[in-house]
Amino acid sequence: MTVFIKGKDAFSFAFKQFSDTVYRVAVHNSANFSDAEDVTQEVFIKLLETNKVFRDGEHLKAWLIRVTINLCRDKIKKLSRETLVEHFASDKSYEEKNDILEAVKVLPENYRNTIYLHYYEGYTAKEIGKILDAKENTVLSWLSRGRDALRKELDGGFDDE
Amino acid sequence: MNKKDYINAVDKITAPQELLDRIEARATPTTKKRPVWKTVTAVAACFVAVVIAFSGIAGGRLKAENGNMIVEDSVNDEMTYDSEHKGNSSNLSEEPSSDVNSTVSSNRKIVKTASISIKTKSYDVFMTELEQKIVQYGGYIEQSQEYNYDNESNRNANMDVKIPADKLEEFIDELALIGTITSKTISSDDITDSYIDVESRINALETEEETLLGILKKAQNLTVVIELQERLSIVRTELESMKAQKKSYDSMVSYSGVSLDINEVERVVEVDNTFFGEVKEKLMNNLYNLGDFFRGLAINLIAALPYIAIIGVLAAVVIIIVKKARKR
Repeated sequence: MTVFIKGKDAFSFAFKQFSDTVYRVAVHNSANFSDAEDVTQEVFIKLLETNKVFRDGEHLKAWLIRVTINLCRDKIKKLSRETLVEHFASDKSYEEKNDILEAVKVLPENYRNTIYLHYYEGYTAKEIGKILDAKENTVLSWLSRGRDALRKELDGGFDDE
Repeated sequence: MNKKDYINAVDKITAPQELLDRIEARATPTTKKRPVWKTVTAVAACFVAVVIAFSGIAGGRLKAENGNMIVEDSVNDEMTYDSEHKGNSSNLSEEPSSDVNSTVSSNRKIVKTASISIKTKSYDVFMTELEQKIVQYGGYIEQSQEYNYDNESNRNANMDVKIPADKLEEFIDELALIGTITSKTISSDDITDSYIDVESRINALETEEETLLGILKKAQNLTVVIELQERLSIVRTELESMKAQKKSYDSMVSYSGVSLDINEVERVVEVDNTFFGEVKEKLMNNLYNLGDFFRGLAINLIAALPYIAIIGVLAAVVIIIVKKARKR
């Protein structure tokens, strides 16, 4: 049975279930934590404003991830145009936190999102393709290239087990 | 390092509680935020109404007294005068309330942005006219990139232009005159809240700076002086950055960003929605494509001549050899 969710229900459901997911995607795609927080907030405001009807939780989740990635992209574009200096000055706050996250974050956008969606969220290549609007084979190649890059970057490699 | 470390690292990223609170507060803006704003306007309107009513009544009294002086026994007249005046004052009280509303809305800080795609047949003419228009409207080009794909007639430019906010609509209308607009998005963003935040922050910091300076003048203990100066420099740095922020907000409000996507095309297709119009358009398109196809074919054939010549020579040699072999 399909249960449609929309409006306030979608918001409260998403807020309870996916706020960490949205924040994590935002962190992967932002220069610093405060930008990630801003984007997270914007995503939920967008959700409040949209009239979209969601088929189920998964549909909602995929939508949230897509919107988050797009908003991050917009934000980075805007920042690099307006306040270049400030943007990069605050970049450092990440580095001490943890190496592996930093290594994932410096990958090209598609690689890093694929790595996150596959290894953390457990999506298959096909599902990732739907979210990122790409072919399954493309996603598979992003995944393997991303993995190769991480293997080079990190001492112990990046293995599947 | 492996997958598990990554998962552990990501596990540690959780949305801060403070952020969640903020979002939750945003989820109920219709019940929370509006009323505050509305009550403020309502209270202001009431206040104005009361003031005007009072002055009206006072005025009425004065005039009534005058009237009394002249005609003492016209009590009836005075009554009608008073009631009329009351009607007047209530009328008056409505107008100022709407006035209050409009001043509030005009004080709001709105950032307008537009993104426009334009097609043009005569790229060079368009670009010079565009630059003239930008100057004419008191705007400037923030950045501009031009690309030139395969041939001359397929150029493309991306431009970020700043135009004074109040002239944005006019400017876009002018653009429609010199090119064909294929898509247009105008969006506005209300930054009043953040603007007020910055303003009040500046005020607070300035007050603190003054206070610190006051204490510094009286201070005699050296460690106290050093501590004060440290604090003062922090305050000043913050003040500077807040002022810069305010400046950037101001420029964002007074200048609208317009991002232009300009495409050169060989022909601009006019939209004609009738049946024959569409048939004509499709037919023209196909003819055009057919022409393009034959043109391409001819070009490729001619371009391939060297290869064809080599293949021809080789084929001739092979045929001769085969024929000789058969004769034997």
